[in-house]
Amino acid sequence: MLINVLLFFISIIFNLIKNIYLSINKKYKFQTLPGYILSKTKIDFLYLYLNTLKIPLILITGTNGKTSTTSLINHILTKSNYSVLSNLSGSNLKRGILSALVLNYYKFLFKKPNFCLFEVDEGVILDFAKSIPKSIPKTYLLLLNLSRDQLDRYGEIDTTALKINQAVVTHNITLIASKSSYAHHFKKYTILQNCNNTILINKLKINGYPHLIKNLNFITNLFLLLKPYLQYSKITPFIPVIGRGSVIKHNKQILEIHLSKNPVSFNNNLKLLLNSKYKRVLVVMNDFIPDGRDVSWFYDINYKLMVRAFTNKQIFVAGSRSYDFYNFLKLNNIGAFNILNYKDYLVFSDSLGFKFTFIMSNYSATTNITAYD
Amino acid sequence: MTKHLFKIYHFYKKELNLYGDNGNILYLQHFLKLFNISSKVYSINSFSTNLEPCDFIFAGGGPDLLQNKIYENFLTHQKFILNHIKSGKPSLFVCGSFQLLGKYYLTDKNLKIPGLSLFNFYTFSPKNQNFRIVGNVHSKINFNNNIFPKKIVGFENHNGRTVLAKSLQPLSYVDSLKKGNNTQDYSEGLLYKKTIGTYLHGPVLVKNPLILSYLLSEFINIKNLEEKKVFSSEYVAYKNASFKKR
Repeated sequence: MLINVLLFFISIIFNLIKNIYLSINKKYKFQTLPGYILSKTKIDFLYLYLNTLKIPLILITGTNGKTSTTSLINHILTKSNYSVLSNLSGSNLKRGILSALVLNYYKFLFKKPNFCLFEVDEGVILDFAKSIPKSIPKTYLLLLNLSRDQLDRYGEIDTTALKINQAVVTHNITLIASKSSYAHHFKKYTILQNCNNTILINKLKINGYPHLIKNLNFITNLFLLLKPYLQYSKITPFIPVIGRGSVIKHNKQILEIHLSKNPVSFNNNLKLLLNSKYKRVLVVMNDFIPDGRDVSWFYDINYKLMVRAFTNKQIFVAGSRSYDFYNFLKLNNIGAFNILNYKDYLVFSDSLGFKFTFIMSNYSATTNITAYD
Repeated sequence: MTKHLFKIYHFYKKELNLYGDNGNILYLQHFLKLFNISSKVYSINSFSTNLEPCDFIFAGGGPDLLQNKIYENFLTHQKFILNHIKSGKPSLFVCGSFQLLGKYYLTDKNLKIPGLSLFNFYTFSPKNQNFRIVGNVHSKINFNNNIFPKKIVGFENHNGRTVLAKSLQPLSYVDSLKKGNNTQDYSEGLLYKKTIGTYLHGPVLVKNPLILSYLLSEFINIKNLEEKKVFSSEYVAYKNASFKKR
């Protein structure tokens, strides 16, 4: 009871600050501040709050597809009349999850959510698991994939897999993962089964998004264990999450943005580009903290696929590491225009009357582009 | 006269490529082409035996698991690699493969894994596994040379600490004890004749084309570099990486 009162007041205070902040700033950049402040208090608010809820916990982790998959699960469950507490903003470190919990507290004041659904960064699963109380009836962890990404933060893939295993074993988590090169690190896991998802794919209208279809299989595997009552008639088409195939308009231009933050996501987006009608591509590469400082991952992209996808297209590069990417293209005999800055590209393309651009950008670049819109 | 075909041996391409190190080969071939030198890359894997002499040896770094997989096979090429290095032919060993050139690797569980013993150095894994040596590096070349710039740049990410014998020359010196070969001195990498061992990724040759011009100085006319405009965009990327404040 006491914790509920405390969280209620904390929630009011932070929502007030958020509204004042938004009225001054207009751009929403408040996502992690409450969690950051609360984490400094040495009180495990996440543990305390989850302990009051006592509802199933669904965690989504992996290198690629976390935000889209979390959003997809949330979409399906809410359309089926379930209420879900989630960190849909994509802030997936512990402080981001805590922030989502605090800022959304008032929504669940009188009616408990049915599920907690959190996207969790693969590197912090073990730390997050420490805040899962024993009162939680069941915790599911969907490990979508593990591949090379920000090795400067996590070291090797095997290290991350071992940490996930430790979290699963010590906190009695049901892990759903595919058979893969790192799976031997897991002492116990539910092997991903292939399911027929045709009805859901058609309802969600995600035919053009192979990565969503692939991850939908994880979702149906989860539902086989969780057994929610899905109201198929109420499930509406899914709109891609910002930066994951979403479209923004700038004057007369249509810009389709695809987060390309590591070799796997870059290759996936190259496949999408191959099957698209786009003739103009803008690659924006930064090396700020959310991106990881190491940009050598370009060189692990599938060269042949890239050459095929970029042939007969105008390629532009921008961002703080545009020259590194420009050089990488040069070594693959791909000519490009180095524009340096996304805003300059918009001015340039406006003046030339460009209409459609396929944008491939890493994390901070995607955030900047969508914020600029 | 038959034109010389520049033979490049790329050791364990599949296993030792954690940080885009294969980009070094891409750049090497691009560079040779600028000087009208035909080249061919031979992939050396666990099934390769009786190797003929070549012009350039390259090996990258990989995750511990895959490094262990190729380790015993790498030992079988000890004599071949030694002859190549001693003859002053160019070679580049990055991260994990650099470690294997030394006497041994001591794991955090005190397991001693013998190396190729081509050089008098060893590598150890610290007891505290939480502190990897990670980040952008701008290191200073430790000798006077007209070819090298004063600084080289790259990105390091390793757990092992390499300690060189005093008789050995590091490739460069870093400005912090949190960077470079270990946390005890300021050394980074190893330089012996035309052999370079380094922890720098990036890939290191793309980021520092002048290192490559040093390694290939017997095959190309260095004075010709400016005419060829080899470094126009590479130089800007180098400047961005080395001088930009963040």
